[in-house]
Amino acid sequence: MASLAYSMAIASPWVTADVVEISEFAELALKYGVIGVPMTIINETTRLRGSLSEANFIEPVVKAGTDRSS
Amino acid sequence: MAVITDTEKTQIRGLLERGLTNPVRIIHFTSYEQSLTQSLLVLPAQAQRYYEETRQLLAEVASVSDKLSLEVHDFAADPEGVGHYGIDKIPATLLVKDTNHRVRYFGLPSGYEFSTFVEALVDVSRGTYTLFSETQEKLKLVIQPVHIQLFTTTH
Repeated sequence: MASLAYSMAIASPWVTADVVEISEFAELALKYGVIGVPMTIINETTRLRGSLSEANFIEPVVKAGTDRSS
Repeated sequence: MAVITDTEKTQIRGLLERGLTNPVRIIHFTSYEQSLTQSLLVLPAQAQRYYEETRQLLAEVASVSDKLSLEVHDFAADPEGVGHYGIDKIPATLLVKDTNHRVRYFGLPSGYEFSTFVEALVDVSRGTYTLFSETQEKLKLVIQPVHIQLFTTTH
């Protein structure tokens, strides 16, 4: 998952990828309701729980990167 | 005491010597007891150790290749850097080549995430990535900022 996120940030100038070691950022766990890892947040609005395949990961990234209302 | 064992250092030296082609700046934001004391914040001893261990790990990684450089910034004392790189929490580590500083790690990159971190150094250096061609095509459709936050744990 981390490698996939980093690959997207290297491949696209629009993507920033943060890998966050959640146990050291308890306030973020509360803010985003993280009860298990991995968990992915895209543009603060999309919340994806669990491990994602590459095909399932790219869809919300493209949606966030093309949605003109966001 | 070293954070990385000699065996690990030998392994990553081989990987980085083979893999790194262009220089990578490891830009790290941390906190020191002194600056926090000045701002009247009390930093728990556990957090101090965590920051120190992270700085030491990065220094040991950076020391294995002359293509790596480590720049350590004090979060409290460098609001300009914090603003420029958009840092909102520490410890924060950015793997930077040229103007690309979009590969970031928050926390201590140890345990399961250590190998990911070392591989990311190589990928940033070479500008390479591992994505299916379909994914690459879809990624070309992205025309506005996307911020991915992946929460994980190292143990």
